[in-house]
Amino acid sequence: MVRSFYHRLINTILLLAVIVVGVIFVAQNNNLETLALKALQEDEQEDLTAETTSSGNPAAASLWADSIPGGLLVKDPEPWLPAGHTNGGTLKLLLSTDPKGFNYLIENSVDVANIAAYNLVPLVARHKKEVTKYGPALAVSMERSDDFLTYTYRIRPDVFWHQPALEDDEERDWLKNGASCKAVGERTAAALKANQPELANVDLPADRHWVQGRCRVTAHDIIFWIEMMMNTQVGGAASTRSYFQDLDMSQVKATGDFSFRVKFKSKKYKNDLVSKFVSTLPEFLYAFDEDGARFEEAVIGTRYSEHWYNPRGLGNGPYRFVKFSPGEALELEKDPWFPLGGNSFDKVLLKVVKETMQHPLMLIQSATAKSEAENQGAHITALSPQNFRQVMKKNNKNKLFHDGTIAHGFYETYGYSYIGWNGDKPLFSDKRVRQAMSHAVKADEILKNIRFNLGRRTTGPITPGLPHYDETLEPIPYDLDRAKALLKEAGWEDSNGNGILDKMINGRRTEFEFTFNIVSRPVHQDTGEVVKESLKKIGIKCNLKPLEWANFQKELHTKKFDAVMLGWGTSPDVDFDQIWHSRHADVPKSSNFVSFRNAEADKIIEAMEFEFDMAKRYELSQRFHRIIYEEQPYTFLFQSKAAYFWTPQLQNATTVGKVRPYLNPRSWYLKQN
Amino acid sequence: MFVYAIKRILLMVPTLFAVSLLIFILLNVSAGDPGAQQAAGDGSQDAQKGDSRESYRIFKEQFNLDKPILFNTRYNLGGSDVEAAIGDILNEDGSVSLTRQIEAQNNMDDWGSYAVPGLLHCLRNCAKDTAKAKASQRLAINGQAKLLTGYIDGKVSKEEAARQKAENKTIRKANAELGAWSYQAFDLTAELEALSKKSPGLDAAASKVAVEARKAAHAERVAAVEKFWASWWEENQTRWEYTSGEKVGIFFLDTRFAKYWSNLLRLDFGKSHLDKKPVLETVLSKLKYSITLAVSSVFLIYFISLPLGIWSAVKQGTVADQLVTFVLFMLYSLPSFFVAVILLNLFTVGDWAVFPNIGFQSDNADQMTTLQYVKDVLWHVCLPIACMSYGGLAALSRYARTGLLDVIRSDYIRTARAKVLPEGVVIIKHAARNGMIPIITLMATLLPALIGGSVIIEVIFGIPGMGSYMFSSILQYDYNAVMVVLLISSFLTLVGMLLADLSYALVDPRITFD
Repeated sequence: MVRSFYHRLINTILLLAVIVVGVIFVAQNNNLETLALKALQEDEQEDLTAETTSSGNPAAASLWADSIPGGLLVKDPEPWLPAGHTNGGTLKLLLSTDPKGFNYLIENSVDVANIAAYNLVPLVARHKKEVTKYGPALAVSMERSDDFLTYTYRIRPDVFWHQPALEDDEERDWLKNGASCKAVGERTAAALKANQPELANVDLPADRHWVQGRCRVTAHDIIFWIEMMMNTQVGGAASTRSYFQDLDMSQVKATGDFSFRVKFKSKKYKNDLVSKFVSTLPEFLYAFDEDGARFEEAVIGTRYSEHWYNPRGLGNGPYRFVKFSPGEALELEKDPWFPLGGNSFDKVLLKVVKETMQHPLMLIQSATAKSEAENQGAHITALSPQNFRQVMKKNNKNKLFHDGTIAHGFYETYGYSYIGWNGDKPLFSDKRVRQAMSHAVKADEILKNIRFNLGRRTTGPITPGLPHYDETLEPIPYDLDRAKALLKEAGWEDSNGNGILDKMINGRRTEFEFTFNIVSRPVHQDTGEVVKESLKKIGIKCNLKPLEWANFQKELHTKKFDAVMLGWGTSPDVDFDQIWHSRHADVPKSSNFVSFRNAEADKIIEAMEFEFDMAKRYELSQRFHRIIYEEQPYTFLFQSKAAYFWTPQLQNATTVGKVRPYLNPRSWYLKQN
Repeated sequence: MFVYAIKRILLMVPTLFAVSLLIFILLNVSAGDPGAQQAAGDGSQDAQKGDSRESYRIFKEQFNLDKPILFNTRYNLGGSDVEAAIGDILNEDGSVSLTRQIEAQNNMDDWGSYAVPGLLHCLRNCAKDTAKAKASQRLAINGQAKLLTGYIDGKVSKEEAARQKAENKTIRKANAELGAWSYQAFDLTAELEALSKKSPGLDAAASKVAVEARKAAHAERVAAVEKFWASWWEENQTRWEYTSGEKVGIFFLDTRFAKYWSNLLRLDFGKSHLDKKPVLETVLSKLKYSITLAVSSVFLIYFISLPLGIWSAVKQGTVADQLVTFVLFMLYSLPSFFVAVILLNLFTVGDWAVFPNIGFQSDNADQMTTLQYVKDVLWHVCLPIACMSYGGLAALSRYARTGLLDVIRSDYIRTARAKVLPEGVVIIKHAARNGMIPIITLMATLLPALIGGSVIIEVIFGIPGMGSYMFSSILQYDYNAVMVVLLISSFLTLVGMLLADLSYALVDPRITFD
């Protein structure tokens, strides 16, 4: 009996081993086959490109593009790559979460937006150093009518959509042979002939944009982006849509294959900003179902949102989307046809590493790799404040971070952190109390000991360094005596001697005790503790309430809080309406959850809505800054700074300036040996 | 034996039922709803705006989040409920709390077409013009008939799909027409403002006349809209006339719970809220990583702890035995994430860097030969498997020790020794074989512990398996994904237990199930 048991056990193990080896072998063979197939495809690709210009782009037109006057666009004097750079190699980067998806119109988290910067060419590009200026990218010119309502654009004819990232066993002949690209060509030709009299007799063949297996980016792809963005069925686009509310859809038109115009209903500064956010969406892909039939107009929004291609991405920029394996890596490759440069790498591999403790190890792996082929690490990454402190400690393990092998730098991000005081609560309705609270926050100490100096004190809701920011305002100092005096002025005194301040409010003696909502993360909890301790010294009882994000948000939406600690992400464009206008104060889920109401501030916000003169905008904004400084609806803490590290192989690893994405691979290259 | 197996398999059904019930309850009572996460940004920022909420509504419908959890009494919705909700949404005197405003808005969305009779009642009988206007706007949304969506998954025949598409066309046309039949409330101040902008110099009398004219036009519009809805109701009334049988059906079946079950029974686990791919597909593709880790760990645990247990039994009571016991229990008490970090810092960087710090395979795995690939994977899983295994050593080696000690005292061992067989032969050939039988059952208890424990290990070592998928799904409120991962791991556990019990009977003739 026992013998037979062992026989069976051994047999089972042997069988299992055989199965495992077999499975691995089959999988491996599949891999080999696909490799062979890939090599074949590459050969064909080379044949094709050899026939055309050196970049391979059959429509290369960079010469004429430079000669067109850009209207509102001024060419950025800063090039992406320095002279004498080398090309090639695989850039390895890190992602700390799986990107939610690559349908760039409906996915708007920061990590996806960063990937879009590799994969998509923007219509216009912010200058790298002077962030208020715009230069040409896909658009070569952009003009504004004298009434500030109509914007006309011309785009390059030499930008092509990449080949879609299809699985090996996926057929989709209609996509591969250009049937849908031609269908779109036919449709748009008919529309152009009907709308533009001068084109009525021009020959516009359906296949005019299908060139050597790739579909060209046209003005119709931009119109398609606008249509999908404005379609109320497209949920992910809701936040973008809210910026375009003033758009007059009946006046959004392609006036040719490479020119289009949009019109807004009113003259507003906001519209001038959003006229530069317009982007592209491949109509030949997203307007069609699995079998290549066009979606019906009435459901196109819903069907587009849940498009069959969605787990993958399709772009027209410096790098092509190749493959995404959740939890593993996102693979991009260089588009040799891309006319605007700034893509020195053959491949970009973004590895998903969820455990942030691993990030410094990835840098060490890369710095100590014997060769690039064996490099399993990452060339460059920003590190969390905790990791930053860890690697800055001098010990044997970290010596690479100190002997100059792994270099580091800093970049400042747009945005600020703050403590918000609920102005609807009797405790915080008096501005003297809010000022006192700001004096009681040991901000400098928090910055040094909890945030490891990764940040800078701010005094208002604008990113420091922008001309909108009033530099004369000093950060409010930690001063408990001043805080006590302000509280006394506001009527808060310890009348019953129990150590806690009190005051008669509506005929009832109220103690100064409040709840402080914080997100349950170590940094926030530590900061909360410091605030609580200082407040205790001036007789205020602060109860920390760490909440998980879902619950935190719920209390924020319904204004069931006394004080909160949070942060806002902002941009170089300054707009106060969403957070500070009093008309949002009583609306559920609004961003003005501290119920800030100030008539003068409202007036400034309304004036800025129609002000196009930048000098006047700066002045209004600085006035607004001073009101906020006086009122202290928030205790402003810090603009945060991030530390980033790179390994010796990577060259020119600078942040290009104050433009997102902060870490932009377009100016980097790998040392070739 | 066969009958026993069948019995056990049948028993798995109610067990899985209970497990999935538990999962359903947990998911529905946990804080935060996925819809709100979806609509984050500011899609639903403005609770007043019907337009920007359309996509949020579509999302909720897709995942059945608009339905009540257990019982549906919405067929009873009357004019007063709807009127109250409209009052809360409008909040004209400012007395309604924000919580109630949000709730009323959500209710109005979730009620869907059940609210139509109540809305019509309000359109006819509400006192205020603003409430009536709101009712007309809601009617244009809630009165819409549902589109047929069966054809989208491609599971129906071509003709059926074509028929559904054709029918959708008619439905859509009718729905679009409804949109035209609503109006905005008459706002005197706004009218006056518009008037003063249009013709600035107007005197009071003239502007009064102009406003009166606008008022009359408005009244006309209101009458037309009311008339339209009255005749529309005549035509479509039957949609809202429920027989008592239908009411029972709605009460029990048009609920989240019922939909959840009907989907489960059809083995339809739904799509992920995030990447919109079928969850089951994703989980199955991740299973290979987790199974590799779990099976190798079990193997390793047995491989080490059986000899160790036997050795301890032989050396029972010696200092060496006590030392081993002490060390094993110390290991047992170390949390695996802690050990993982120590191993990472010791063996992946610095002078002893021999193992890779992350992943299941190298970046260039697709260019390797089979042998290289197997080596590469083994090299990568060394540390994770070590972390998952060491904790199990203590318990299992103790069981092995006890098992052997029990046997060593039995008569046939004494007989073997009496035959002057060498001690090694006695222990290995005679004692160990019998002593190890109970150890087999423990395999079943190891499996679930390993699947649970692999969550944190997979995250730390960046292995894209089921554990790390579950981890991120929980963080992102991807309910369907969490549900499937939990169901699959409970299923694996049950199967493991069944196999253990059966093998127990197979190897030990003293045990029968008949």
